Amino acid sequence: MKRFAASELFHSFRHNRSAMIGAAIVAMFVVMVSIGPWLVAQDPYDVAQLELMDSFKPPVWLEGGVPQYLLGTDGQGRDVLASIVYGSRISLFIGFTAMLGSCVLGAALGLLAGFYGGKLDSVIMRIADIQLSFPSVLTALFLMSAFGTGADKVLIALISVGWVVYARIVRGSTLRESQKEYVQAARVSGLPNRKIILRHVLPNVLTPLIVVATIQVGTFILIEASLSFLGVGVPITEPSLGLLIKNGFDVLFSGLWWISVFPGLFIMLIVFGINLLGDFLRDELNPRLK
Amino acid sequence: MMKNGLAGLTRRNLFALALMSGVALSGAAHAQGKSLTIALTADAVILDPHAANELTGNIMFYHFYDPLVSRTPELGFEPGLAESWQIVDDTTWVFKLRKGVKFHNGDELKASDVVYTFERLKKALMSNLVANIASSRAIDDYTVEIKTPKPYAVLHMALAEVLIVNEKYTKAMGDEQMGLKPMGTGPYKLAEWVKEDRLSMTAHADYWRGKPKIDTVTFKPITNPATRTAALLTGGVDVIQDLSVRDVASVKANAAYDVVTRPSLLNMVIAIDTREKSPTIDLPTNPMRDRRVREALVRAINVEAIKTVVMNGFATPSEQYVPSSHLGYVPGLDFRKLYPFDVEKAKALMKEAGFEKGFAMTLDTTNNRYVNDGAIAQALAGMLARINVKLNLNLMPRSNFFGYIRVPSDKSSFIMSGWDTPSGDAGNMYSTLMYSRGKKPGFGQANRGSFANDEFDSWIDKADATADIKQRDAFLKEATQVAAREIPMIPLHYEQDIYAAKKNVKVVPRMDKFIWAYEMDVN
Repeated sequence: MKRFAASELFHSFRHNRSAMIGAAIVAMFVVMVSIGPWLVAQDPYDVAQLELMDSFKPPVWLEGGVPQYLLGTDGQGRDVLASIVYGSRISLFIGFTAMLGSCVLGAALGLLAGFYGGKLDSVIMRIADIQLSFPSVLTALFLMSAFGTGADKVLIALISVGWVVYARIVRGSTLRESQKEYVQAARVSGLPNRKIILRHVLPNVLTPLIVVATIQVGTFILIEASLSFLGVGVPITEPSLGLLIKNGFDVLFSGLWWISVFPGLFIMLIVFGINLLGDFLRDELNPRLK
Repeated sequence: MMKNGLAGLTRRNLFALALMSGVALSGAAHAQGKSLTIALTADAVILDPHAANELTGNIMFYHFYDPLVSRTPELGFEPGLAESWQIVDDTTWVFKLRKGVKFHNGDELKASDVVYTFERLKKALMSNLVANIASSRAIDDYTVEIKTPKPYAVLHMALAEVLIVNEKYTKAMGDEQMGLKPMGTGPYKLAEWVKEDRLSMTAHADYWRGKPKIDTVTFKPITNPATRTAALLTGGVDVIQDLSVRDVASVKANAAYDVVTRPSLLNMVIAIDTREKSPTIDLPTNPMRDRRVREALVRAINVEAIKTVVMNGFATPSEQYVPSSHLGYVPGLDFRKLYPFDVEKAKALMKEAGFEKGFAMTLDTTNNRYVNDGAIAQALAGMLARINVKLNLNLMPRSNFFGYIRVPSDKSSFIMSGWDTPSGDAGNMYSTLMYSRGKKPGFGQANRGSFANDEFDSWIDKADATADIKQRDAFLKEATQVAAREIPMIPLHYEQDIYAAKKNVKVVPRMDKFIWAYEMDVN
């Protein structure tokens, strides 16, 4: 920890205001999803706790608002604030898990392609090219309509969309690293390929991944929101942020704005924070930008 | 073609363009045509009136085709293509056709077309429409004799759903083309159908009731209610079907638009599985076989709350399975008085039946077919959770739903759907939805909960065997009593049809919810 505090990275972080803001937002988000459920009065996913007669209540500062529901309620009597807290858990879980999944899958395929080259390389990279030529939401939408809906299906869809970026980056770096003397030396000394890849190549191709991974969490949160908005994401009784926006959108023209506006603002804030942090990491970790 | 841009026009395209503008010009010269654009909630699946029976398709069918007997907006029955009819004996009816009725292609309607229609329907998907016709023959060009298999008092009412096709044209086109190119005696001809985008029609000048007042009518499918409202307010369409209940107040407040509401015939009902083992209930026997459990389910549902909150007041809690205008309605019988909302009583019933701890099951319903269907489903889940019945929601778009629940419903325990009976007769609904399955062909084919009750069946059999309308009504009333006691289905509410239109459009809402441009006008 001390070493980190004294490091160059931490130093420039301290002097970069946008990075500080980004980190603060992300920290707030993490705190909220970890302890938030104990702070809100209602579990919006337990239908027995919903009071239908309390639906469409406006936020507390508007006429008709009640203190019990700070940001108002939706059409089922679900507290918007509580829904945001619970919905963010789903969004963060999906965004983070999908990022890890696609990172591991993409990095593994990229390492294999870059290190061994040849036919394996061509096959993997052609699949990646085909994948890249489809818009990611479209691919996910297609997969979801084939497999059905639910958080686990969203994960599968996101991972099968997300691995490509990692695979391409890792393959590029692996190709470069494999030419370098230390890898040649390792080869000459008779180390098995598996060890060369894991011990020597992998650590040297990791840095650019961190940048992409950070920004991708934000992207995935957005894609999940789009999928839910299109009605193929999470179940309707357990709304994520995207589904909350969709539910609110149906009544937006009727003046019931709070149901979609607050979750919308919240997604914006989260993705903004994550992107600020990602930008900072990109600037810091990319030697060419130094 | 426009995508290519002007530069990309070939000589042939230019020629076509010139031709098209010529057509457009002549169209404009032709009497300053009135036009009307109507936004519906969906598009038709197919335009063959013998191959489908759902609201959107039906709306379109009645523009292209006519029945022998027409239904008025108030559900009365009046002569259509038949100018009169008489009952010769218990099982024989004779219909006199109107003379000089012209099909869109200029052919005159003949008795042979009517006979051919019945024959075609027998082999078509909608064969249930002619289940009560044993045989038919043309006595002369304008007289048709119909034999029913047994006395059937409401044949003329049933014929209001049978649309007459042209024998020669239909044979020449074949079934597939009939689904795309409708051609009948109706007030409008198909001009263009771009699936899921628009369907436009032009007036049939030789229409037998007189030339339509509006020359061009376009239907646009717009599924999302908010988008539909926006389309009206931005001027893209003149009339919308199913204005969102939340938007009624704001559209009403706008002086440029009218909002027209009327109670509909569409009864939202929940089919309860009564089989020994239910597909989504993880228990050795299905708890809902116990009548007390079914009663507990009814009592746990607060229909008033659904009406005020989910429907914003635009619904009428249903007293029975059919509205008071229908044969078989029992005056004074009311589910809401028989089994009023009472959670404590419902819990007690569950306990009595041995299911105090409740059970879990799946509710299958749509999320884009009925007014606020998804929201109703969520509200039901909340209400039933209070008697420990955990409802998992399986919400499907309507395109998947009807295939998913198709009898024998081997994936479903609890299905919410709407049912309307425009024939004005409860017998129609009872024999389709509640008559024991597999007992008689053409009966119980949509009995999704496999309800089977011999007493109920016997009243339907009796009703179907009499040629006297009063007697039929009396027998159907008995059947209604049995159903109210046994609860094969839970009736929730009737939707209210809500239309919004520009002030200059005269909208005639119909009880059967069929929008019919022939009855409308634009100033």
